[in-house]
Amino acid sequence: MNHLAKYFIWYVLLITFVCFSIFIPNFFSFSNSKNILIGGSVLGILVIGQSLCLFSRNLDLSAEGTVSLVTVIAAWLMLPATESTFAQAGGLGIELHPIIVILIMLSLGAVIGFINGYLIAYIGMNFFIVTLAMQLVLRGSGFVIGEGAVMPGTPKLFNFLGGGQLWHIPMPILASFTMFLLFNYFVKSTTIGRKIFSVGSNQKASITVGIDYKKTVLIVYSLSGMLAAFAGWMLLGKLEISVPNLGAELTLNVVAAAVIGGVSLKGGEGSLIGALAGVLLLAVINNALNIMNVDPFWVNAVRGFIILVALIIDAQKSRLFKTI
Amino acid sequence: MKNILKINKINKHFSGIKVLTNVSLEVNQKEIHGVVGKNGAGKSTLMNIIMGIINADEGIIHFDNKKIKEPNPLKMIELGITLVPQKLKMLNTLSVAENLFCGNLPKNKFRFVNWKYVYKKANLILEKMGLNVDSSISVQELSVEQKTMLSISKAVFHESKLIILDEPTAVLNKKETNILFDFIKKQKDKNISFIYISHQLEEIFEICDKVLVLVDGYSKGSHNVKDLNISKLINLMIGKDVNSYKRKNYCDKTSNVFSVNNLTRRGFYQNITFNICEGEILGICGLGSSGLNELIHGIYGLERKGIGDICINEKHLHNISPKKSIESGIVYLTNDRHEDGLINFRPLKENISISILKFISKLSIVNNYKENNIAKEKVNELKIIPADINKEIDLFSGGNQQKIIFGRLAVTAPKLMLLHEPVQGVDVNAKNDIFETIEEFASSNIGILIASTEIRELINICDRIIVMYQNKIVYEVNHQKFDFEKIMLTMEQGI
Amino acid sequence: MKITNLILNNLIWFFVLISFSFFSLSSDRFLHPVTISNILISFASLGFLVLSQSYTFITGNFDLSVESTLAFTAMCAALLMLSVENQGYGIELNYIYAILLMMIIGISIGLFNGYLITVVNVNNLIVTIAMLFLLRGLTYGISPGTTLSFFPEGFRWIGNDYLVKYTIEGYRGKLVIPIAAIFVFLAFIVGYLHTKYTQFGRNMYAIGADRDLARNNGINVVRTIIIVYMIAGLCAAISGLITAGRLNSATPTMGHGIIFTVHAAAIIGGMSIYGGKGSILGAFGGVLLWSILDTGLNIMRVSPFWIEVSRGLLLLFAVFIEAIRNKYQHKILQINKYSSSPIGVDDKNYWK
Repeated sequence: MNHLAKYFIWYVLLITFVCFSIFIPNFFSFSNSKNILIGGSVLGILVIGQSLCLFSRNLDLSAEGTVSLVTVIAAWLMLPATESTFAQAGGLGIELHPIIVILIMLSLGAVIGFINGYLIAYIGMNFFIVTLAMQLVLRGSGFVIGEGAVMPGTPKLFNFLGGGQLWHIPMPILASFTMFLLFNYFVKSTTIGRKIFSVGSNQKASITVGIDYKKTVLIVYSLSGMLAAFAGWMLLGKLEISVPNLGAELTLNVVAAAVIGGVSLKGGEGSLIGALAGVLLLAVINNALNIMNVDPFWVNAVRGFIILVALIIDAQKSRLFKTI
Repeated sequence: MKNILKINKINKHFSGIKVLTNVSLEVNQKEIHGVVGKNGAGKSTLMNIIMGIINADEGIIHFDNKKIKEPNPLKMIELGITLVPQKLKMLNTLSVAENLFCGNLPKNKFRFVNWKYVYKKANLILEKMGLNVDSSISVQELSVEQKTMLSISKAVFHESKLIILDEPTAVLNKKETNILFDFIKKQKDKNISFIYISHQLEEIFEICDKVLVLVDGYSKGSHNVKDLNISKLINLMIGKDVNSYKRKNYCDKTSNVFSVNNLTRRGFYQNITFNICEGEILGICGLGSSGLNELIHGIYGLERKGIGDICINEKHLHNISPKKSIESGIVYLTNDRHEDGLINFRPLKENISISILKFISKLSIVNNYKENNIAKEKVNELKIIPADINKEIDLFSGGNQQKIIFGRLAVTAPKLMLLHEPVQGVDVNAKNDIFETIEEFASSNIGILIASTEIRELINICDRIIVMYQNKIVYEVNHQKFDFEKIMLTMEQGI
Repeated sequence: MKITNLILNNLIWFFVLISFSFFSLSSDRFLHPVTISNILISFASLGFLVLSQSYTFITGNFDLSVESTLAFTAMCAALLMLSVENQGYGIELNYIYAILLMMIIGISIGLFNGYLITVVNVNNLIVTIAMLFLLRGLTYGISPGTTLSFFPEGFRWIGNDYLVKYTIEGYRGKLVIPIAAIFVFLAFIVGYLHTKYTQFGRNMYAIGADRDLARNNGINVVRTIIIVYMIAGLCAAISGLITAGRLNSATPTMGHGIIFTVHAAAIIGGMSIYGGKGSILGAFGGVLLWSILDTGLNIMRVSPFWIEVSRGLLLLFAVFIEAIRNKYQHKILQINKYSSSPIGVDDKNYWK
């Protein structure tokens, strides 16, 4: 029974996939499956970051703002300066090498996360308000630098992560799966991973056993920020054009995927493998809705329904699975 | 004197265990009726039954000469019984006046609240009670005894006839306690009765008219306080000695492993000096107001230690924090494992290895093989049932949970173990196991400090016992001269 | 000390004052009738949403669905009022009935939310997030796909009409006071009086402070929370009316994403997400501040995007101060407690 509980979400994923394959034309194909995975890649990276926060009983509402800002800055640094029209802008003109830009993006993400973590753990501000306010700051900053315009034409080397291929496998798929495996190992087998879970399940006990609670939360948010930046790199590389407010509205989907995958909002529970299943489920559903050319009405309804179900299950989980 | 509460032959059992047997109690008007008994004697259960939170299996409750057929909390509150719990519940973001009038603020004829009048009326009411505070301040600014007085005032204002106080002085010092007592005595004139639950026996003599003694679910009767003294009361409270553990080998070493010198912390303890030898089990007992809890936290680093020295193996310790303490060889078993002992939802093996992650990992990667082995070893040694190292710690019984935490302490190869109420909430069989384990630790030259109020248990296992009373150490005795009554008396009323 | 406390307790007004002075001094175009008018217009749109959120915040609950209620009610009204040529249903309902219907729908949504949260006992975040999506989806569902426009004049009155168009000597352009601004202002006053001076209002605070304790004191928690959500729904519907009236259009994307700004304005005005704290007047200050920043920075030709950044920074700053202040107060209480103790006088460092 425990096995069922642990891998429940994977069974749901399997059943959903099979149902869709049977009832939806054009769903079951190699190329479509590839689309599903690519579609879920960016979401996946963000889910890793959010899951880390959730494990420690925190939330990062600013991740999508980080995506927004770092993609704009990246484009700005890499693109040549051109005549700005109303809708389209050029870059700074320094045409920095993509690798340097990537390093800058990841560092910036880490710094943003660091600031979040510092305000939350060391100053003692509420995580909801801090990350909410940070979201506004980051999103706005992105608009300022990008002048609210699109910036097309990111260099090929940069786009490799988002649009390239390795051994005939699209990079986003490869990269996100690798990240999942890497971070899964990270949370299960490293000392810091243990501390993250410990802090999320019982903060007082963690302090009593000698864990540095503040440092742990700081690290969690820094990682979340860095992963958000990584997601931005992937997304920008895929689209090859910087768009204002990239990453908008992802937050609820990210949280939903994590919660469906078994990551508890109360902290200390869940796994990244489960979260991966949640991401795949969402990706499959989004893809199906897309193929069926569904009315935005149904898209919103389905999204709302999924989030609702996920949250209800999470709230009931202590009752549902403990008595088994 | 008119009788206000009369309960007759209350019986209650939980899952097969009888927790209350034929308990009767009579409380009259203007009476302060104490209730004493060890943890687990049935005090809370009895109060819950009176408040209608749970129902007795058998027995009759009469309140104000009316038989209560189906008690439930709202009904009892309406009839005039109020419970003031140990952890006071207040509307923290609101003012004193709003806490007093909650749900029914004084209003003018247009049903609008006139705040000036509200504060004036509240001030008047509180002043008449004997509580002088400005009712417009936030209730958070009140001290603990003032909050207790506010709770009582609220009950009186709502025409409560019987107020149950559950350990109201556990965190108060002498001055604050006196203020509270004056306040309580004043209410007697208003025909109000109190039930006063406490572990601090001295207080019973200070404020109660009568006292009910509960022992293992039985009532040893309600006695006039005038007819008793502390000795007699203590004797009444002695219950069955079930499965008494007997220490096998007392410590004969003389080398100090731990010493504390003139430890002083403003407001909590002063000039605390003692030492512990290798392999010695030292017991310290003290009431909530003695400063014992803060002392233990201070030694371990959860709170300030104040000034003075702490030495382990002759090495001075500075800037203590839990992490540094563990590194220096001091470990701590908390008195409430649910609050700050168990790492919930995590498996047994993680709960054991959490303090030694550094030592079972290379380059920050935990060696799962080592972790599993260590966990299996401890499970065997400590006889943890079921022997499943991957099972979530919440699914174990209380006794086994405590053993798991012992396992966590043991794997750090400590030099000193601080045990705070080590067998609280543990079933009888597990208690013996744990005492055996403690003695085993001692015989491997670890110093043990047990902080507890269960003197019987301390006598069974300790080499020496120290008594803290009102912020100082007042008595020390070796195992050869252990005298339960003397130690208990000293803990309750000093020398 | 007293002055510090005074400022800290009314931080939002301090911010309002400073920002207003700052802009007046920095730009000679700020104290201009047109500018003031713009402040009032932007303030009208945000106002009712912040009011709705403040009500639920006081009880310790969220209502994330208000932005969707805004869109949904507006869309319903539009479809019923407009003729077939204008993409409506052709019923051409009288605008008064349409407005009434909007209010009823808004209240019903609130009733539904409140019921799920109290009686069925589902977490408030879950319910209102789900409603956020559901209603947005429904709005898309009933929308004909193009922007609905050309509402009757009567309908647009609240959102678009002015109380006065006042010309001030020496200034070009008129000082315009929108009707909506008056409504918002009145609504906040009513809200303030309601929450501060009625038993119902105080019950809201008690529930936010400690729900169980409130219930034990005889407060009907279920009824109160349901009514609070109904009020929130009503405010959302009014906001929909104002927005649709001002823009003279109804689209499925109305109000999309505004919920975070609404939270930010309420929080900087002193609302606590935990409930039991904050005043409606403070929230009013929050809306005012947001509008002043908006307009002022616009006047100074600051990119609208900087405005969002500055709002975020301001919110961070306000909460930062609150956190530091809490730590400080706690310390002071502790020090006071220990310095009166006769025990351990030698320990001089007790204040650390």
